[in-house]
Amino acid sequence: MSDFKVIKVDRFYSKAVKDGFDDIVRQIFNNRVEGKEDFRYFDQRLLISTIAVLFSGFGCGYDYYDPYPNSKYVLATCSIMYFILTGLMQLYQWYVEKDIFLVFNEKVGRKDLKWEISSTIGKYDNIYKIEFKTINDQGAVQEYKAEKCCSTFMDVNGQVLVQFLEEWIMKCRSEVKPEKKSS
Amino acid sequence: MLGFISDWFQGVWESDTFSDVRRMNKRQVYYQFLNFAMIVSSALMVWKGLFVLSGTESPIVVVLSGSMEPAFYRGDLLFLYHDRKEPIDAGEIVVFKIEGRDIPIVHRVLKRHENTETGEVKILTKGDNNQVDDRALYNRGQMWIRPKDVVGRAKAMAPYVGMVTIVMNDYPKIKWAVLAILTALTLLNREAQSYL
Repeated sequence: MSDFKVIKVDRFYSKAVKDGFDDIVRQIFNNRVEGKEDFRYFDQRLLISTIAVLFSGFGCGYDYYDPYPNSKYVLATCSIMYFILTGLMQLYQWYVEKDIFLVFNEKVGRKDLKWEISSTIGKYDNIYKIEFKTINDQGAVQEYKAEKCCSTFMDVNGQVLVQFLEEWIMKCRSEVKPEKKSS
Repeated sequence: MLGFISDWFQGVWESDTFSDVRRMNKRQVYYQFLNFAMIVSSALMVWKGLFVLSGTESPIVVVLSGSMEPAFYRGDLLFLYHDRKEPIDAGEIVVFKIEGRDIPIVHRVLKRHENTETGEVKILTKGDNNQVDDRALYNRGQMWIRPKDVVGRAKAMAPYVGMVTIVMNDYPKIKWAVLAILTALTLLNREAQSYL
């Protein structure tokens, strides 16, 4: 447990609690499971955002050096592209990324097992809901959902109780991926 | 004194309020700045997009004086549209800029002269609440303005909304304080549903 960062959260703010728990789950997988974290979803979101900001910057820069009305078509194109890209990014977050906060490629022998883990806590809720999804090399999907009250993993000062969270996460992981029992 | 201030800032930074900010890695930090850039970009793109839609580089202006009362009062927000092909008629409320000056003026067209041979147009303006026409406002030796000086025509108005702009310009420290607070809130508030 000494290799986990101590996390203290504002326990009355559900977003902070969820972020804190998610960070611990990420640490658990990175420290306890053999494999590597996959940043593809976030990198794609960063790429779309960066391109949108570049369009905006180009439009503003062009307008600065060659003011309106000469920059009319450039401004029109950049504005339209910017809003298309931000709309695209929103759709990407809603339908592709969803609530996924961790994608992890676990090494199982010579094969890879891809984990997609998502979580939610309602705005005025105290239940931490987590969903595990695994996809193996053949494309077979397994899902497992679990939920627990936030107070199970947090003390009265907002300090996250890593050992309890780790136990629960590893138990959920074994439900999805049962370990082979040796005879 | 400096030591006290730096200790105070350090205490604030190490408080629970910023615990999720302290945990951010490079990708998340980059996304925080990108998020800020996107907020600024959204405002800029809406503004620049209004240039294109309204046909003028000043799509929205604030009335700064009472020279057009009772039509417009100080603090009113005007929405402009400019179709350069449409002739400017007497009686229209136009927004124009005097050459060499940045601040636009919102007054009514009093007279319009057009040379039918050359097509040259000259315009004289006056504020409804002023006693005399605008020749005292024009540059020395200038008796008329041209259609090229007109940046738009007032098409819609929102009362009182522009007072915020007037206060921010009269008290720039308030403007910078508001901007600094909004910037800090954006950068130091970890984005929801962050993947990392």
